[in-house]
Amino acid sequence: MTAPQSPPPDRPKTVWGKKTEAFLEQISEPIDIIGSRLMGDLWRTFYETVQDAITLSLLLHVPGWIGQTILGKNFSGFDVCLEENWLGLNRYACFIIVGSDFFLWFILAGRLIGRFLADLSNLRNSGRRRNGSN
Amino acid sequence: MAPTNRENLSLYQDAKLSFLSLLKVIAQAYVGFFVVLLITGGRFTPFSLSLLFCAGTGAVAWQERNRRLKLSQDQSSIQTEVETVATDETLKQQYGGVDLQINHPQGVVLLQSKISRAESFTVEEFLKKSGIQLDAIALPSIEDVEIPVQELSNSIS
Repeated sequence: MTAPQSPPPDRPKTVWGKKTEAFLEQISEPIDIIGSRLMGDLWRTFYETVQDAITLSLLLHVPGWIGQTILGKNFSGFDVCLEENWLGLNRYACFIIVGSDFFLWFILAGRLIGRFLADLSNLRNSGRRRNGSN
Repeated sequence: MAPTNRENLSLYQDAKLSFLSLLKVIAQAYVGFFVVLLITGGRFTPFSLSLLFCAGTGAVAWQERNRRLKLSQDQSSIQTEVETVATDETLKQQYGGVDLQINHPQGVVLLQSKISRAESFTVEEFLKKSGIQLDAIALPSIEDVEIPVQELSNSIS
C-alpha cells in the first residue's frame, strides 16, 4: 500500500486508562450501532455535526463566556461594543467575544451545508455511474 | 486486518482531519472578520452584517464540500488498492505460493513458477532464463507441449 498510514490513537498504559477506554468503548459502540441502524448514512453527518458543535463551543464560546465573567459585562451584540470607551479594553474584547459567537453559528451552518452538498454530489455521481454501467 | 479495525482507523483519521480543517476555517474567519472590522470601524450596518454572515456560510460550505469530495475520492482509491492487494494474496493462497502461471488456452498449466518479488523481467526474458523455446508455448495443440514444470521451477531458484 503506498498511502501513508497515520498512527492509531495512543493506547493507554495505566490500569485506569485501560479501564476507562474499555468503559467508553462499552458506551460508544452501542450508540454507534443504534445510530447507524436508525439513520444509516445520515448518522455519520449527525455525529460529525455534534462533534463540530462541541469543538466550536469549546474553542469559541467557552473562552468568551469566561471572558465575560472576568470583565463582569454582558456583551450581546456589536452595538453594545460601540457604546464602550474607545481606549478601553472592553471594546476590543467585546468585538472578539461577539465575533466568536457569530463565527460559531456560521461555521456550524456552513459545514453542515457543505456536508450535504458533498453528499448530494456523491449521490449524483454514483447514480450516474450506475446508469452508465447498465 | 479486520474490517472493523479499518473502519475505526478511518473514523479516527477523519475526525483528526476534520478538526484540522475546522481550525483552518476558524483562523480564516478571524482574519476576514478583522479586515471587515478595520474597514467598517465596528459600525456594522444590517446589510454588511448579513452579507458577512451569508458570505461566511457560503465560503465555509464550499470549502467543506470540496474537502469532503476530495476525502471520499482518496478513500475510494485506497479502498481499491486494498482490494487489489487482497485479491493478490488470495490468488497466492489459491495457487499455493505460485507467483507466475502461464495457461494454455485449452486449460492446461504450461508453466508454474515462483519468482521473487524483487526481480522483474519481461515474459521473453523469463522464458529465456528458464530455457523454454518460445515456439513451444505458441504450439497449437496440447499434445505437442511437454514442459516439465517441476524442473523449470527448480532451475530458476
